[in-house]
Amino acid sequence: MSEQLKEQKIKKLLISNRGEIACRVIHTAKLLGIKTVALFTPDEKNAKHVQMADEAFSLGEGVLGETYLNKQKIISIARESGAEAIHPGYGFLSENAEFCELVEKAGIIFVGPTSEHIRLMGDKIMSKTKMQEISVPVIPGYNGNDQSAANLKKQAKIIGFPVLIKATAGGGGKGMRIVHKEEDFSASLESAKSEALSSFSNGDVLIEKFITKPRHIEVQMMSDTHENHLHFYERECSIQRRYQKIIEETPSVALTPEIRESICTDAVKITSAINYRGAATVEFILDEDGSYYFLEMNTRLQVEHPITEEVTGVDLVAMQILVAEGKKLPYEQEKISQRGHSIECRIYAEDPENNFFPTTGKIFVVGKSDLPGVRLDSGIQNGDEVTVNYDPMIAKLIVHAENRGMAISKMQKALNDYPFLGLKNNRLYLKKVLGSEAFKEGETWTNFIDEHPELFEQCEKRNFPVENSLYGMFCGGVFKKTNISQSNSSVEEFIEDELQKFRN
Amino acid sequence: MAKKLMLGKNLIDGAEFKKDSDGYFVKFNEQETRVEVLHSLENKIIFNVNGVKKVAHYHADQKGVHLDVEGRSYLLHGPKKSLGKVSGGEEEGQLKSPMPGKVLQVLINEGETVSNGQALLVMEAMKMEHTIKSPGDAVVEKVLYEAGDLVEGDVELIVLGEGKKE
Repeated sequence: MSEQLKEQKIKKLLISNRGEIACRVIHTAKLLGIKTVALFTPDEKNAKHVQMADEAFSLGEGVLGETYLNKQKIISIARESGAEAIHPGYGFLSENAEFCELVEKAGIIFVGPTSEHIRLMGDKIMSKTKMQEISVPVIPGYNGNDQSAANLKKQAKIIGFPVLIKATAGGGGKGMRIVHKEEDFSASLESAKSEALSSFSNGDVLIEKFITKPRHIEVQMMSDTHENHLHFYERECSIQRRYQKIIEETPSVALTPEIRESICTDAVKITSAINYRGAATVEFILDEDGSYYFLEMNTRLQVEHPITEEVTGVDLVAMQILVAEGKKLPYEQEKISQRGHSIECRIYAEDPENNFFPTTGKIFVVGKSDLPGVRLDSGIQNGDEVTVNYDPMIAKLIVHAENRGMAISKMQKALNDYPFLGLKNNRLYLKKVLGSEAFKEGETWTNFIDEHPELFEQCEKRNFPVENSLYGMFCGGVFKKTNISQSNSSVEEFIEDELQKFRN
Repeated sequence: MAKKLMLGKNLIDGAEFKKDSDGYFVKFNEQETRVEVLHSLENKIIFNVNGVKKVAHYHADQKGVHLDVEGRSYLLHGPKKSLGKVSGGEEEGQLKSPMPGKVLQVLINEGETVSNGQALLVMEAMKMEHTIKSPGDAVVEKVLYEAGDLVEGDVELIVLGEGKKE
């Protein structure tokens, strides 16, 4: 029996996050008639999430540990503002068990799971052991305590090469090595361990079978406190760069109805077995032969949740809040279905022509789209400055269409509508991926980007007619001046003046 | 009527330009282009390039005209601004450290003539290598750091002067 929880209406919600996810949560809270409290640092006084919220409190200056990762400060702001609940978004403190505990100890609702859930799923070895207990397939591997080099090598041989060495406390590809041959094992182990030690203060590693044509398939889950554990189908997130997703879609072309049924049922098995609460994403790796293995479970709302919302018609943030209030999920599994196809592209402030190096600067024009079924989740507004202080993801562009082909075309058009002008970004590269034969054919494996270097070359290729026409329009004075409005000279004359100054 | 302009990293020099009632005609690098503006909105222009419709978003400021044509970004400005006087921003900022990091290699010497796109310096920042390339034909006036130096973000690394013309 689940413990009897009182229902408690949330009237005011603090969002302990920033940028697009803070905006996303505030948007739904508004629809639900819930007042919102935003947090901000000195350079975010005019940020979109602060403008959208009913109340805003300063986190003060300082490094992340003093601001968005400052547990005590966030909790005391929640108290001061009278918020009954805290939504952590993703990243920052969203999967921090201690924060979750402190919040609940303070008598505030944590919109998310319990700290035990976070601890269990945050530990790669513990979570894998749990999966084995409940017969959810895991990748053949070794995740034991004998961390001696001799034993790890022996285990690698049992598993069979190629193998993957991974930091147990890791994430984001740090402390991760692929080893193709036995003779390379020792050197790779050593470097993985030292990287793990310096990144996570924990040099422990696990070893697993390396799958050569893997797809990343994840299942969206939602559980209430009344023993309802529902799934909202899969997302395929195979297009990744350095283990970071850049394009996600649903449904996945790789799932037959049978595999879909099986993988979703397994995901439900997991949330039921641990009596989970709230939103989660169960990540699997899918092999070419249709077999799949549990990777990890993220105990929070996922960046790419909007595509699930588009095809199922469910507002996942609203469901999170409802669960946090102790209410029952208003859905039956059989009635949740996938309608059409949705794709998300992550727009990053980075230069694909220069090894995806992060770019910084001012965004003059975000843009807008008149196409139906296009959604932009972004915390950026015209005139905002992108700095190195936070994640370089500046927006998520989401489209929904009747089928995959139409969704791809729509995304290609929509990417033109949002230039994020002023800052080099990865839109051109995203368009090249979407337009490639391999992507259209659904040949999307997690090593897609490495296998298609020609897509970078296409980004670099110059387009003389377009450049010529820009030159022509410039000389013709087509581009109007905006912030040089005092004088009536054209941009052309303005630049001539500038050149004159330079010569003097 | 011909003007020298920087279009992104490329110098447009010696283009032929004509304006008539239908629009503009440009000839550059053996490429003939007819361009007609179909529709002009605030910060957005829809134009026709040899019959193909394109959309450009733009913004003009002191640096020049920032342009985005269907995912490709350009900064259009006078040619001399990018040389000798580096003023930050995504295009000219090529000669500045994009963020705090370490200089790995300096590939040129002071006084050396460099060409557009030539690699000048390699730095490492956020565990990635980043090559600083020349934004145009120029002469290296000053190299401000050497290999092994730690640098702050957005500081000038190299000063370029005007290259010899013709």
